[in-house]
Amino acid sequence: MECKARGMVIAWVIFFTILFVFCGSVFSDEPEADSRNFSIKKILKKADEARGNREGISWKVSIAVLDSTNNSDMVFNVNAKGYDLLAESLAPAKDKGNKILMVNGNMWFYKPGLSKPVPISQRQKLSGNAAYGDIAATNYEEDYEATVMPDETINQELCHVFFLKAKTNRATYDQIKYWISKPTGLGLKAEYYTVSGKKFKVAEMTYENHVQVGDQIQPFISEIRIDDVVMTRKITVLTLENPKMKKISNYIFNRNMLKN
Amino acid sequence: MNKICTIFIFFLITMCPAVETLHAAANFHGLSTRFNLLAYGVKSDPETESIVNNNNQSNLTSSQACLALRPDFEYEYDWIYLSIKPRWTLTYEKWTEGANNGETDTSNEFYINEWLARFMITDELFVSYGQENLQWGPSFMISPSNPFIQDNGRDNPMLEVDGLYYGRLAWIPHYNWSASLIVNTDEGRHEFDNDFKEKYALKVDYTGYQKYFSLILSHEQSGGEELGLFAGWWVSEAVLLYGEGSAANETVSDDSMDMDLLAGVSISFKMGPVLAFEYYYNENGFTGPFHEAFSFWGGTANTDDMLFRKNYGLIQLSDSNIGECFGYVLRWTQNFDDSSSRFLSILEYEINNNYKLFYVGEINDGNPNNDEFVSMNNYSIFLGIELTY
Repeated sequence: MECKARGMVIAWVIFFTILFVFCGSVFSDEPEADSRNFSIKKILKKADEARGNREGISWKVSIAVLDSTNNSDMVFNVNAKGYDLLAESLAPAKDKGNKILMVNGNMWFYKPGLSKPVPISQRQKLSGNAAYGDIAATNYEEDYEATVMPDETINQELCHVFFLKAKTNRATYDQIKYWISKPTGLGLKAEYYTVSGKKFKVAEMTYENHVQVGDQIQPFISEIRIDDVVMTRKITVLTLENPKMKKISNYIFNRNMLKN
Repeated sequence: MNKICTIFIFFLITMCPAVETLHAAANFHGLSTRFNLLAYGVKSDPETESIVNNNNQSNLTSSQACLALRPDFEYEYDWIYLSIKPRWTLTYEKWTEGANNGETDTSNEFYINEWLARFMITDELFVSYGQENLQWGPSFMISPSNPFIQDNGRDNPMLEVDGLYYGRLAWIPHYNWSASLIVNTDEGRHEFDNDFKEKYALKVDYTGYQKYFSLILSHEQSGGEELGLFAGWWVSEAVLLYGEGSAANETVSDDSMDMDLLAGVSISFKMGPVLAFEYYYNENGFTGPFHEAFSFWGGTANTDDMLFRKNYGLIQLSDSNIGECFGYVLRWTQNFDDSSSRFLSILEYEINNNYKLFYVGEINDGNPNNDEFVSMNNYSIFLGIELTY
């Protein structure tokens, strides 16, 4: 019997070893950004700066699905840093206190009444056509390989057009066609494509918020209008209010702090 | 029964405007509130032929009606976080089996299920004390890595797990790493069958790219040490492999050591459903006749364990958001050491932003004389409505 027990211990040690070590490098980091085209990266970086901040940002996001059967807005208080975010639901009442934590490609969901946070897949949708990645900051400069396409005009503004392919698994979308205004440097429109090249979402962005970066006041994203072009044809509108650039401490994104 | 109905209707009529006013007054300067009212009925069928509940010696009720008021209050400002979860329940109970056959009772209880005071010493160091339902780990069936309490509350989300008293010192020095010292000072409202003993634990957490793990080293007062572990790894966007377990440094008997292990996988489908499989192995579990497991018949089973047998399997299908209003959990648990099984179904329907209907049904199958799951209840059904403001 002692041998049997020892055998069981060894079997389980092997199981956990496979889980941590063999199947993936536990301590590996993502590949560093490719910096072969400086000017393209500069344009993307400027557009990213109007949609987030790598050091940290907090904002309030309201999500409305323009659908006659659903007229209630979801409201989240979001703290985001790079890819990671903590979103806490403020409304509707049934969702108040629900929390979503995205850290390093892991996602946990907690709601009052649950004994503990549960791990969930990044496949889970936030609401309507919006993915959780839509309420986080963008980092297209580092996450995507850009191909230059011919310039186009959007809303009477001449735009750079880039076709972006994800370089990292952390990116929310596999491929994006992205229009950036030449006069303002702001991303105005994006089309999202699957790996196989099928277009599934279109988003239009407006920038009526302003934030202070150093000595400068610069425009900041205020609305993302997302149209699902494949399934529902519903339009989801994300309204972003009260953006605040700030340093966000590590504990905000610690899973032990999720319940309280 | 009429009294409960009257009180429930009174709450329904008066709660909405009263709570809205309270919210408006409370939600300022870091104070947030959440009011939850549950009204539900329970119908169950106690097993009276089994050796552990012969003639309903455990005094299980056949019917219950319950009204539960569950407000949560939280205050967070700068370096301080305070929370309190007072509870009030009004319960009507009826017995149709055993010594109390034909009797009814109405009772009410006020208690604090959880409270917490946490202080941020620096933005890397936190100290807290309170009565908490402290849970971790990804598994559905049981939490074998938790040295304090194994009940993870997932059998019935409408019933709260009692809070135990914990002191915690948490250190979060890095984005990926954190460590906590935890001491369990009192069992609170939870009533363990065995005498309560203080426990101390060191928990180390790592969150890597699409993977995470935690190690828990614990020591029981005048007892031995235990090493717990849980981990998860996202093999792909849709597939999570996870494991949870513990091993103690003392043997329970000559041929058995205290070791629990659970392995699981969950698969998330694009349309929303999540399918999960779990296997749980309890080295100290009992494979012989069920009644011999217990100490009053000379057995060694720990009655504080959630599951007594050695091998269990679980399959679960769930979807929390169908059409933005409907959710379900369907869970089958199979006991491999006897023929018993348990089927759990949870259905939730959100009528609007404040009202939700819920159903929690549990059906147990097997031989009542020897099988674990059917030894206490043949079935139980919860049906109710939840109001949230």
